[in-house]
Amino acid sequence: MSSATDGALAGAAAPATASRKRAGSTGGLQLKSGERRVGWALVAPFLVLYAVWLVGPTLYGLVMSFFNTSVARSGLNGFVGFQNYAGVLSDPEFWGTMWHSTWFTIITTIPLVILPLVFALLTNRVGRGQWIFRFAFFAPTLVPVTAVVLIFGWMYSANNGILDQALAKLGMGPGNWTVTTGMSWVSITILTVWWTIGFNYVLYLAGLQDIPTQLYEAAALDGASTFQQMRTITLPLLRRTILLVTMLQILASMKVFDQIYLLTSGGPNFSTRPVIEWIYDTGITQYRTGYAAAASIVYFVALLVVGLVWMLINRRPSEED
Amino acid sequence: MVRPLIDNQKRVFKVVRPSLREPRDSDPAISPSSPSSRSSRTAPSRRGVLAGLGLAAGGAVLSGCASPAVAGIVGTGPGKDTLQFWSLLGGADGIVMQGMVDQYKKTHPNVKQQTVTLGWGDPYYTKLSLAVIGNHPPDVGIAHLTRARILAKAGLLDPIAESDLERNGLRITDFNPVAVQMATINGKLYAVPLDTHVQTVFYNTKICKQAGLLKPDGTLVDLDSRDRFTEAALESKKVTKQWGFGIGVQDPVISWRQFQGFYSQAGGQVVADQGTKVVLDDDKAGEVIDFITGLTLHKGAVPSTASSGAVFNAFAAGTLGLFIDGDWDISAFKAAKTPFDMTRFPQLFGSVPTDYKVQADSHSLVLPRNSGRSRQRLDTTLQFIKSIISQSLTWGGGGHIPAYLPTDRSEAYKKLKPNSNYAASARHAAYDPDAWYSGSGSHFESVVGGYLSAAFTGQSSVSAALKNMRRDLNRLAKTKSPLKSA
Amino acid sequence: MASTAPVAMRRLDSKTGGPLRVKADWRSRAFTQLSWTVLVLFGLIWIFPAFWSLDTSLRPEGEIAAHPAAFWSSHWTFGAYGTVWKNADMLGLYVNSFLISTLSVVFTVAVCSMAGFAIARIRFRGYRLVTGIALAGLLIPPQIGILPMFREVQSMHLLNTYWSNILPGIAAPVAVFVFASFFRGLPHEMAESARVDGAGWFRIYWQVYLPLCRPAVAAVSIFTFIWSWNSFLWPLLTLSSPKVMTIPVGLNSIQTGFGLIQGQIMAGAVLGALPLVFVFLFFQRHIVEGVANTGIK
Repeated sequence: MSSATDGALAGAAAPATASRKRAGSTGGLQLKSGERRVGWALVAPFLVLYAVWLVGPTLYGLVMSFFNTSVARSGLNGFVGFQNYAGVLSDPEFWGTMWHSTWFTIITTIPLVILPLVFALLTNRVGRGQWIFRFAFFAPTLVPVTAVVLIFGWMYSANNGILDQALAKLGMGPGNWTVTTGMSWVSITILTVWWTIGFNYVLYLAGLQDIPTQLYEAAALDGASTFQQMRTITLPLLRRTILLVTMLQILASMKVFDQIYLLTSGGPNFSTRPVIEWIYDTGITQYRTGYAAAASIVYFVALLVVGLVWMLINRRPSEED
Repeated sequence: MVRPLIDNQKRVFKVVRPSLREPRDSDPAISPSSPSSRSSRTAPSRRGVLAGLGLAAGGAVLSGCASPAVAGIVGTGPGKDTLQFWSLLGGADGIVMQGMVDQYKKTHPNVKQQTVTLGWGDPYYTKLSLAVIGNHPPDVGIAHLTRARILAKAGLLDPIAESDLERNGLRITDFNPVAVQMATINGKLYAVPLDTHVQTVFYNTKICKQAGLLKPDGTLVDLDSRDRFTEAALESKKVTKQWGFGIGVQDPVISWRQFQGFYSQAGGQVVADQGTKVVLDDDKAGEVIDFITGLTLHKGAVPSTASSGAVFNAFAAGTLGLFIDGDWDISAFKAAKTPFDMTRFPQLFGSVPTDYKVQADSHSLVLPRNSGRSRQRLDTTLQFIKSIISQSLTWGGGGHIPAYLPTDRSEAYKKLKPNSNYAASARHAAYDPDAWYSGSGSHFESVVGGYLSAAFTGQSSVSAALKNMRRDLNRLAKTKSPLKSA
Repeated sequence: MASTAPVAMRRLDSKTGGPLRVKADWRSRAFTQLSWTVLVLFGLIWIFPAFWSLDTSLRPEGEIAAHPAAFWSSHWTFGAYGTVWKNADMLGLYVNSFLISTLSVVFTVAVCSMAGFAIARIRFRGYRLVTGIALAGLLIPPQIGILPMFREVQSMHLLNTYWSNILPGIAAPVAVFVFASFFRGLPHEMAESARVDGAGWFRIYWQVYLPLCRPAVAAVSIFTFIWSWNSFLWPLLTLSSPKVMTIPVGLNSIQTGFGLIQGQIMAGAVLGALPLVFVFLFFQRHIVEGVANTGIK
């Protein structure tokens, strides 16, 4: 596996080592001292924007989390020490929504890791017409979330929706697609799988393409069956891709907001509200920006822990290589 | 284990390294130019692409969409030429309001007016707040009075001077004083009340007649005691063989509305001092919850397993005799040709008739904060408000009780049936508590209502509901208000 | 180690076929048949929502209400599209989305390719520091910054301008790494000879290297464009004026806002989905590769 994502997104430290190695061997240019400034000049726009739009907000958010900041008022408004943190950490609503996001992550990551893998393996078998499947599975990713929710909202709608109509034909009652908590999760998951499967599918296809054909040829000569080939060649060689997809999916799912906000608004009765929506509701709708900023930090730390755990899992085997 | 990743790596690398890549005719998009032109130091195609993008962007700007695009790039204040009106009214209310706005347009052909309707409840109030904070406020917006108070305390509304109102032909004394009081903070008026909307009793005249629940004049018998209420429910159930009194107790907000009405009749208050003190009276609240729980779980007088939608549909379909819900259902039942009449929400608690209360809120028209509002613009806006207020009779047809007293007292309104049957309720409105976290469509309604609904439907005990309510209320009361004033 | 070259501008090749050109025995053929069947089945399931929304949007409202699940109509009509186009100012939404996304692409490519070039090709003091800073940026999920960023945009008076949706995304560490790794894959002799010819570094970047990294430009442009086009939460916060709303935010308000009925809502959804799906039909391979190479979601 060698995609940029691998190094850049997930295995954060890798490109740095790589570039260090490379710099030693290829950067054999003699720079005049005045021209060193050119390097800084070229990165300057990036650094300025980075400072203003990434470092700045992060630090400001950290500061805000110690104040009674309100979106309806200017300024930071009164230092409260760790009060916001104490409040967030003991806030059952916050932890409830953290659990909703986690639950969403569990129920979407599993199908979104397995299904696209199956589709990609099958697509790889099909010689011609691959583009049709790429189109079918990937195009939904390009549809704006609002349109996705409008379409699924119509299919899920009580009685008149195509799904309830189909159930009625089969003599079954209404599906209560967005009425009960359980069914809301089902509806959200179906929508999410339909909408986002394309990314993982494409990553798998890329991973599969990296597997040298010769390996299969050799295996076929040895008389290995299709399934044996898959078990002994494809899956082991896809291991890094699978890990990568899993990690990206966990991170993406933990950040869920759009489709739940639009489909159920976190309902029924806040039972599907994800943590990002809680932060939005608290920090913007209820104007409690400082408090919500503290919650964002807690949430960030939780994500960081997930990331570190993944790096630990992923480190070991790659160092063996 | 095999180490294919390295082979793999090389292979990828070979494909990748542009200088080594073979040109592929099948891939015109990636390599539109021949290899030789690529190795030269010019890149017309890439520039071409950028120039193309620039041209396309420029073209889009020029093709008649210049002004919004410019607004997006340079940023402008609120639109100067259009009177912007924001509303959260959907469904039948939305259609009635649109008709009233169209009437305004007819009588004011020289004003360019635009209506923006956004999702009801929190999404609307969030967007309204953001629009003010983002310096693009609409000229005028609809707000529930309970929410207008919060917006005003957050500094997001401009107060309306009486002199300005009067110059435009409106007098504050012409409005329902209960609503005006809600619209006033520290002696300043922040909203022009349009209506009061209350919980009401809908009854199916056919079923109630059969059940012997109609007086000789054809109106519903007196329900104003807990026994009579229960009895009526059971009598009607005998006829419909399904449900007695339909109340959407599965819905948190509907549960809250019933509780707030009865609990206020008992003289109870949930929170005091701008929401900083919990004054929930366990005895009074317990009595109310006990009573409703008795109806749902023990006497079978109110269905606990039917969703609020199912109860509503049953009444519309004519298979439910008695139903409590907001006055705004009128349009739907008229459209469904249900044989129905209406009366006020019953008094089941309190000792004297003056204790009567009913949960309510009011739609009102507010002026989102705009420091650059000229006097002329203010007058145009107030003229718009006046035009809407003067159509209060049309608005009242949708079920809401007009806050404009000249309409409320008019013969025309008195003849408007069944609306005028419950119009007196507006003087006994029990608004949601005055607190920064409260109000129609607020999180507070859903949370507190959620515990009530759980008790009403038997998912939790009465004591647990009270305990949970108190715990959450304490939490909210202790939280420092994020608003400017209290 | 695999990541010695995070470069990897791969092609997903559909023409040369998979590994299965080798001696297919009957079991293998049967398996391929099965693959086809399963894929076609799921492909149809995946297409269905799109088909259904298109179908609904083209049927008259009366028919939808009477027979919500009927596929066929005796009176196909574009009426719903006309209503939505007029009432919801779809053209305005398109223009806003297009300008925000395009400007985001132009700035991101310019800023990040320069930075990527510098850390890949120029050994200036501190390039390691810059690399480290950019890496750290990958760890910060943008969601934690929405509240402070909102305050920031507010204090800069950029709310309800395109800039509020362009500026925050330009400094994208991922894009820098995509460019940097691509530049590293190019032979450094080119720079040396250009230096000998007396070219300045900026010229080397602009005239020698950048023209050669079209695949990286394509990848970064594509993910920036898609990401920007489809982002929802941030424009929901910062674009409250209908004049500057993008498609996802604007569609959200027509859903509730205009008292639209089912066919019109579906017409809105189709109109919202159309531009990128249409583009995808033409640039499928590019887009898929761009996504595979950057892995952004």
